[in-house]
Amino acid sequence: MEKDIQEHIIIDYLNGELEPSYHQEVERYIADNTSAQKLVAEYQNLYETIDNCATVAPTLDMSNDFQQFLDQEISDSNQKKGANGNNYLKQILLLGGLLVIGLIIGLNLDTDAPTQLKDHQFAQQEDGMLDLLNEASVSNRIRAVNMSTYTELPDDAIIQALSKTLLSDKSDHVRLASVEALAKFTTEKGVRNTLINALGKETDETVQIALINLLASLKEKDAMESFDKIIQNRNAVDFVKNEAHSGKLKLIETY
Amino acid sequence: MKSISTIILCLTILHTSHSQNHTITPTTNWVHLKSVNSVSIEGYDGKEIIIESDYKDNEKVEEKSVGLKLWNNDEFDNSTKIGLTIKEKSDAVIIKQVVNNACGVNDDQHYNIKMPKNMNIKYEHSTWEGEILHIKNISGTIEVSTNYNEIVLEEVTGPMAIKTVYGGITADFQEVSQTGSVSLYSVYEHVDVTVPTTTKSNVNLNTTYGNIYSDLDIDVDKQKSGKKGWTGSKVIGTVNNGGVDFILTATYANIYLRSN
Repeated sequence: MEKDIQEHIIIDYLNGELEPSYHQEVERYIADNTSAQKLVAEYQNLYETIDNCATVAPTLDMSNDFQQFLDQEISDSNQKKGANGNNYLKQILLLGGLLVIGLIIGLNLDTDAPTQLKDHQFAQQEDGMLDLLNEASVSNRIRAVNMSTYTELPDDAIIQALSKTLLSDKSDHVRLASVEALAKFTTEKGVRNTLINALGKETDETVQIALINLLASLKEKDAMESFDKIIQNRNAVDFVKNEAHSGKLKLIETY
Repeated sequence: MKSISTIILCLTILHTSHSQNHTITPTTNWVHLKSVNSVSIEGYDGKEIIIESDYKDNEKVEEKSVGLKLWNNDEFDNSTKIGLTIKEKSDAVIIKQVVNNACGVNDDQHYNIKMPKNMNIKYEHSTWEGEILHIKNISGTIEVSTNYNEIVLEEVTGPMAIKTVYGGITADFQEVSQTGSVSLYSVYEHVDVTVPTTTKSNVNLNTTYGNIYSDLDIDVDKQKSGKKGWTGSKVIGTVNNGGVDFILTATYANIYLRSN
């Protein structure tokens, strides 16, 4: 039997905690085993020593000192409790204040940041386009007009700039490009009116054809009068008259 | 006496049938050609504008107009004797064809013009007499506005703005300038363009009744291009991540955009 197990059983044996039949068996084992006997003797001696220890009472001074120490500790403990309570209150108030401030900020915070950035970029592109429209170079003005191809939403400034370009740019190439660009914004009634006005005063044949084709494709009935004027104009070139006639037929189909 | 007249007449004929040159040293960098029916323009490294022609006037007209000036709708002039008037203004050299071909005189008159290759060219023609405009090796700006001319461009770079009603446009770019824009517009005929494969461009291809063909690697913006309609097509996109604007329009015919 291992020593640890021996000690455990002997302790229970000496405390009378074993079953009666097992107690007798352990007793017989101890009788036959000298190391077990030695162990029993050591534990019995230990128990006697413990039982025979005298109780030592503290002196009066020691009692008083201890009592003072105890009272002081109790007092300190109470103060800490009070301070912690105040801290808790402060923390609650601080947290509440932060929540209120956060709420105020959150309500006023503009959450449209991505849209703002996009608007800013669009504004820059729009400025670039408007600047280019004032350049002397025809190809740069065409480039400016073509920039409107990449805008997604009809912007008043761009539409106005394109309309003005169509009606007044001195280059027929640029006016032609503006017809193609304005085709994207024809849901705006103002744009359609601009196209009709432009057709009334345009003299370049290619631009006239582009305007006629666009207005016919839009089934814009208000363009009928402009088409008739071209058809009846003796000075108009034949192929422009043919296009106006073809455009008129397309409009008539809508009646 | 009769033999002398005959000899003079023969010499006159020989003189008028011989190829003629007219040279200008320009002080501006724009050339403006008006109503020149058939012309080939080639850029070179020199400084002069050299106009070659085999201008040949009708014998009878030549004989009767000796000592007289031709009315060209602006003034009486025919100083070049090659059917053109040439005037240099502060902003451009203006070359205008002044001899009327409608009466059968000087049919198929063709002019060959050499000019500094970085000159800018403006060409205008509106009548049915417009034939061919051929421009080669020019790196300046080209602006063309015609109704009937067939337009052929070789070894050009842009920027340019070209429109024609009945003529097709064929352009072969040696390289593509990244300044300005390239706008080619034909109402009834094709637009056929060849560019280097490495060209950086924003393409805007539009035909109302034709088709679009290309072997370039175009990154198409499908939202802006829209869906192919019953007739017509539109392609908006970029090549090699974008660059100069390429705006090609053929209202009633096809667009061909090729790489070389």
